[in-house]
Amino acid sequence: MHHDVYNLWVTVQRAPDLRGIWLAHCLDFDVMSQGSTPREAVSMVCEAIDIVLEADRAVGRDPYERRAPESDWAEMFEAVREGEPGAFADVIDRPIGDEDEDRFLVVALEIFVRAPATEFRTPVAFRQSA
Amino acid sequence: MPARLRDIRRAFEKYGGTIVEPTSGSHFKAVRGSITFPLPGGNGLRTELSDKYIHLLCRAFGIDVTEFKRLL
Repeated sequence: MHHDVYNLWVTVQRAPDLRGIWLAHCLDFDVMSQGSTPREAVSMVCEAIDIVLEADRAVGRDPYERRAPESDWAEMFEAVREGEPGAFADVIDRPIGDEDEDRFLVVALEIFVRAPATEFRTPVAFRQSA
Repeated sequence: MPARLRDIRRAFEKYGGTIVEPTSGSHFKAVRGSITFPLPGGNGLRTELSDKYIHLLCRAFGIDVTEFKRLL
């Protein structure tokens, strides 16, 4: 069966202006979503990615044209270099410290698009503390 | 500053865009021309979106974020 595979980078951080909200930002498609936990934010950004893929496919647009600016990528690669790697569940579900402690999470996301459903996998994640 | 989805919709419509309510899931869709951008709406139009989100929305549609925020 034919399917498209996307390997994407997602950063997860606290919303600086909304208490108790986490933002998940897919840099490859420059799309964001939010949730009350890091895991929920990642789950929500998967839904947002699905919308982008479907919308861009309908108009023949390459979703990678949406790519986030280089400054966002530099921030992400710094977190990958300096962060502590681990399995997705270990990183994303670890208890959250105080607001200054947990600066940044990075999730490598694999997406398999095939009718009728899109499948999301999270093979690795990184956690950067201040 | 964060803004409610209701206010973002009002401002976005002044730029000729439309905010489409979710048919499944919890994301609204901001649509203008051939571009679609998802907006989380778990609390409907009362959902508050971070300033970071507003920047991404404006970037996706080539809208000046300072002017956009004046409309919120």
